[in-house]
Amino acid sequence: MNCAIANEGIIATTGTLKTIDWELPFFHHAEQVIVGWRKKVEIDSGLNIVIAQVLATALCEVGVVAFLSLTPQPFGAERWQATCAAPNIFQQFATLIGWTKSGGLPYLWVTRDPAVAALAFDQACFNWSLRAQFLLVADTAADFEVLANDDMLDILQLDEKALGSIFARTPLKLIVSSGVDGDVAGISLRRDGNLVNDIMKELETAARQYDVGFENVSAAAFPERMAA
Amino acid sequence: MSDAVSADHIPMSGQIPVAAGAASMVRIPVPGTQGLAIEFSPRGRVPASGSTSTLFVQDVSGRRHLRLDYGYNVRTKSINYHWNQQGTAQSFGIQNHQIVGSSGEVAYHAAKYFKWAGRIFVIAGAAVDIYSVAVADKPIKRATEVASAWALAWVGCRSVGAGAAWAGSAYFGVGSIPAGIGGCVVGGIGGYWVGERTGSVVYEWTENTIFRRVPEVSRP
Repeated sequence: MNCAIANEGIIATTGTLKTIDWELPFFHHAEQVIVGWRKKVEIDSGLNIVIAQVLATALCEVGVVAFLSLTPQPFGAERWQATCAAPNIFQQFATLIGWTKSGGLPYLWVTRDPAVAALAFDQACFNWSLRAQFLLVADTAADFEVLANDDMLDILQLDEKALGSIFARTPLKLIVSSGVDGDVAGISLRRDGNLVNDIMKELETAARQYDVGFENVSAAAFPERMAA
Repeated sequence: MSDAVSADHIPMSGQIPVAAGAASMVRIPVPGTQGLAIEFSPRGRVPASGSTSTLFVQDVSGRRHLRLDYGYNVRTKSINYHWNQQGTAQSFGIQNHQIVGSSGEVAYHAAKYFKWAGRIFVIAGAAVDIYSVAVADKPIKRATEVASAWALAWVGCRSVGAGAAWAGSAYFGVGSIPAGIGGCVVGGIGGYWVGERTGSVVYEWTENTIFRRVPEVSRP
């Protein structure tokens, strides 16, 4: 069901948006959902808190979410799952992605708590609106520990050639990348039965939960709805 | 004419290239904006395809930023030069996706080339200064001058740049950006000049100062 968006809401399409450069990585052999949003007040770039919570809630319903952070995930609290990979992986990340200014190494946060996952959209040095952040979703937290260094580097560098088989090589279910100016999110999904339908359904449910609109539109209508 | 000094006797100096290029590498503070500074690269991770922005006024984490961008603008459904901002609207009065005019287009390209040209200037300045130390009659003295010059060039670039940015913002919002960059260049030239001479004076003072051991005397 589509809910007309008056002021604020999510706009999603499962079509292919080739006519416009959305600055999203193109994953061969994967399915794609593109999600945009409109805010009540368009002053700042990126997502506002409500939109971030809608996306985080939908992703956490599909699986366990991992994202990049400057700081290690806090230990001790029950809701936190600290599963940082070996430091040498991240040292390689820092070197290869040309990450030189923040004075530290990136950490991977892993969570199924929407409140924590929503923090992915407001991370220092991994700014969503600068297309510096991405989110990975898998069935379990342990799935992130078995990712090979090369797989993670392929994702970080958005190596399209290597990413063609990323879902065949890894247990990842989907990868969320930031698009142009952080105004859209590209969700690349493993070709797996109903996964596209699942994420669309979860987005709609989460949008309703947070009282924002949801529209599932065609690829042709997507730019129009984003600008409206 | 025996006192005439030929060009060969004038010490080589990286003053101009260093000062001109320093603005491309130094964070130029913009006073009154709670920690924002002018830079030519984003803070933190840069996507593999590179950034589509060339000019940044940002805090140290990159969370709050104003940046000059080129690309698809979802609000206008067209590709254009525009501002993107997060948390800086109060400081500059600019909203996200606000389109810039032809001056913005010029600024976008100027920033793009200055980022790399400035770094080449600094490297050239460093090479000239290293060479000047190598061929100097008094290499230690020249090294002192160069070290002092670079330190004060950095201080001058930041401090004069910050002052100019403050003055520029008082005149018109984003005027702080060209003012800050211009101030940084001027401050770098002045700082280098003062530093070079200060280093020379300090060296001369220490060289001409003779320390002698004071003879021991018995306690009265």
